[in-house]
Amino acid sequence: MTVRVFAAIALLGALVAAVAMWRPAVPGAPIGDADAAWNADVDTRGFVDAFVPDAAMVTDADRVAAWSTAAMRPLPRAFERADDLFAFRQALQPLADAGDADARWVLSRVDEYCAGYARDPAGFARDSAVIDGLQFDAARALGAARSRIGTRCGRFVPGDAPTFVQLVERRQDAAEAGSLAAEAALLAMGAPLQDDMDYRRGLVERVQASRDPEAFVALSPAMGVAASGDVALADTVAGTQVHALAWQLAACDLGLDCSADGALMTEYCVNGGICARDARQDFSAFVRDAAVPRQGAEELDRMKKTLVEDAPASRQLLGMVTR
Amino acid sequence: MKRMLPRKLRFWLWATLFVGYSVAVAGVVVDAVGENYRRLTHVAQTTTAAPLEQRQLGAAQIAALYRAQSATPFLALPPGNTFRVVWPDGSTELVRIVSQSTPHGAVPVDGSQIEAAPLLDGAQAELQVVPVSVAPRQAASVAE
Repeated sequence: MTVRVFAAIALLGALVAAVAMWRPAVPGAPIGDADAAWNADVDTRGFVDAFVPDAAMVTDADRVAAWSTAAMRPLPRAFERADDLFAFRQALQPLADAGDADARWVLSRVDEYCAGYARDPAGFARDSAVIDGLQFDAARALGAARSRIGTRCGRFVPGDAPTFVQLVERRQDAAEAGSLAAEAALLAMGAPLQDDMDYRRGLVERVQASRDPEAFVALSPAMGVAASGDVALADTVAGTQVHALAWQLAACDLGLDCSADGALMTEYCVNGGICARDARQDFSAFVRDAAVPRQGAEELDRMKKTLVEDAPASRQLLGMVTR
Repeated sequence: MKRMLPRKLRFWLWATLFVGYSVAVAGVVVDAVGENYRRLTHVAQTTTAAPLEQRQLGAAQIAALYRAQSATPFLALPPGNTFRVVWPDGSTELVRIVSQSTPHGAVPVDGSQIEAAPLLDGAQAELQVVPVSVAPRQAASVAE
């Protein structure tokens, strides 16, 4: 009797384990010798050529030319709206060369956004084909996000892709020209302009006082786990992943494009594999749906409110921000 | 009959525990091992001897695909987490997550690199992503 009982349990367990480990076969041949065929299936020239823009190029260039005499804040918005980021970048370059801080910052954003594609357009297409062939819930969303980047960055080539160090250098140039967002991004990249407690604390206060959504979202990675244990940021909204999300949600409230097609959600999906299954969700809805439990969402809202509405001595600091 | 009831209960109790354990163990394996990782561009040719930038991009690509296949992607490999990556040649290293939204969001941990064992060289080594610990990060260092 005992032997039969244990045999039954073992059999049941093995069955369940087998079911749990079973995964539907990926369409196409197995790895190994299939690699060549899989590579051959992707016509990378077609992929690149398919996204060569025509009228969009002129449109983007015109937009930048029009903004060069206007306030600089529209540049980040133009980045979100540009269909051809290569043309947009070319149109932006003279402004950046002339020392415009926002232009330099947005240029670095374009480079960062398109780097994954530009580094290896053929490899990007192959990876997209691999992902399209996989069977998991987020594959469609991930494929759509990659396609969006492929479309907007379609004319970039490997020489356009910055290394991490080059990206840091470009942001140093932007920060030294006066871009607060670039300065915040440098802290998040582990390369702050200065590395003392007063500077870090002051930078966080300046970002909060600026109410600049670009600066908020650029700073956010530095306000997550990276800030845990940092005495300089002890009484700020910092220290956990939820804190970083609060900064990003605050950026959304302040005007960042947090739509499903926006750069924030696209980069989360393509670079991080964090994609909303529901294509209608914006970042705020996605975070509430997938990142935090309901009670956590209330706490998140409190943090966000603190960031948006309770900027420390914002009036005095605004002078420093806009110096 | 009175004696049989507790026995049956015991049977189902043990069965439930065993099955639950099997599912839990199998779940880790299913989520952690995937042959598709090594087909990714930045992973295919990467070893611990590759330049830092290439390993960063490869590790970030692995983490992204790992999260994309998770039901809770925000909670899978969050910033601060460390996991061990086994490159296609069998060499391994620890990688720390510093960001979930940037292509350089995974940073190899200095001193954690282990070269491929001779037996694994050129073999069909399987790429494994095994979360091993969670540790806060003070600041990411700029790539050399």
